[in-house]
Amino acid sequence: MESFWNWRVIPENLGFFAGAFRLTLTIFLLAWVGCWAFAIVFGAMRHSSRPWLSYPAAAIVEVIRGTPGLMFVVWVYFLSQPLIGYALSPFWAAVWALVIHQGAYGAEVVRAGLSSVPRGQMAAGYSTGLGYIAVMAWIVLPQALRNMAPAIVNRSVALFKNTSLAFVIGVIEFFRAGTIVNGRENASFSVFTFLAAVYFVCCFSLSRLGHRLGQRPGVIEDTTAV
Amino acid sequence: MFDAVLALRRGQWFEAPRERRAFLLVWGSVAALVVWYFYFGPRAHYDYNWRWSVVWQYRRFLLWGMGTTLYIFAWSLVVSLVLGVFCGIGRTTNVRWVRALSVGYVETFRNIPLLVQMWWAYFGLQQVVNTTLNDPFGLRLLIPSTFACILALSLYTGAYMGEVVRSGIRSIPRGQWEAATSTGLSRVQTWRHVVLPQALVIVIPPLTSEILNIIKNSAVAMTIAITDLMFYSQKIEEETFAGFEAYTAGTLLFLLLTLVTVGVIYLLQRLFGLKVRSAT
Repeated sequence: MESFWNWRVIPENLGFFAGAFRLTLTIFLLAWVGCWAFAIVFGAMRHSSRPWLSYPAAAIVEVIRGTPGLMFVVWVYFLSQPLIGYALSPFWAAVWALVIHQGAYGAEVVRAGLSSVPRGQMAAGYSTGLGYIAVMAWIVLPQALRNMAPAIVNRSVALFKNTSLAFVIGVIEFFRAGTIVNGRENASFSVFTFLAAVYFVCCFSLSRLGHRLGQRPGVIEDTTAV
Repeated sequence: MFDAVLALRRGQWFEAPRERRAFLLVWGSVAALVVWYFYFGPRAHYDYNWRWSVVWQYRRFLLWGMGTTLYIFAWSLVVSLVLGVFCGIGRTTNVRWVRALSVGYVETFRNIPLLVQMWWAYFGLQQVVNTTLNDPFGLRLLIPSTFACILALSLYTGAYMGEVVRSGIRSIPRGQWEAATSTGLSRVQTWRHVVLPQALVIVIPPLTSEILNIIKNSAVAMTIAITDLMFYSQKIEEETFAGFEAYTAGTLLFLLLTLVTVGVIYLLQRLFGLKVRSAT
């Protein structure tokens, strides 16, 4: 009788797992940078007092936030066909999807962060003769960042977890590596426990960091289950 | 999500004609650029064959999928709400082992991707059942994928809801506890009649967003062969190769489901006259 207690498959496939984990990290880092670029642009638009900027930005962000991440990954993958005429590689489709999807959630964080800075700061910046970009970059964002720090870490945890969604379009990242090994070895309990443990270690250490940053009053903590 | 709509109705869109012009110029050109790109852009000669009719042609698939999604949503909603309330209470009690248990639960399930949890609950548990019960005793116990999916989804969302409920309970002033104790209420009575009714009303807005997350996260169930909306979108793609159209329809239907849910919660809230103090 075969047992479910079959841990030897982990060291035997460790090289494969390690390579796949590197891909997961690559997706994570690329999507992280893009997601915050997206978030700052759309967060600033939503923060704007001009309705013609803030309402359309709000509509875009809310529509993206209303769709499932998995769906969005597949949608972006298939969008590339009519958009650029050929299928995007699954890797880049996954990165773009995570950038836009998590960026929409990040935009809410940025908006909350910008709102936490008193309006007087912007006014003071303008009155010293700085332009919008300079005021944002040198006065408002640095103060907002202090309040946003835990939320940024929590978003990063969510982004790291969501890199596993790339599996659905065939990127051989960490989760897909697990399913492949499981398909070959038939050791689903051991393999998925191992995957869960690795994801847990990464995400838990990240979220501890966020918890440490979040011990002041007035900070923004964004913990939604996405 | 309703904020924007309400603001739209009440607020003035443009303060000056200049802003109207800027709006039309910026967003009009964005829209024009998108349309131009798809139909006349440098890549248009690839001649993507738009077939939006397949969405209508396969409307039954989408409806079946919505049915399954709603079924999973309903079960997960009930289970995760119960889990969330108990976990929220557990995180705020003085009993140390209950608190440790709740913290352990929350941290474990929040820090593992739902995909992994679902596959663990489906394939991992099935293997445990096979090797400990089925093979030795000649049984044929199968874990239904629906069960695994609802289990994983509820445990995952329950952890997040626990945090939400905890913050709601924490926001009840100490004076309420002291007043309840001094009127002679027992601890259980205080929870039931004083703390929870207030805390659960305060957390309605963040709880709503967690409830919506159940719908969105239920798309992951497709990977363990639940025939939900996502699954049937993929099915349409497999049958017609009109992937973009199929997934757009699926995405919009998910959006519709979340919007309807927000509306229902909003109506229920008004029906029961629940006033929400905290801002969304």
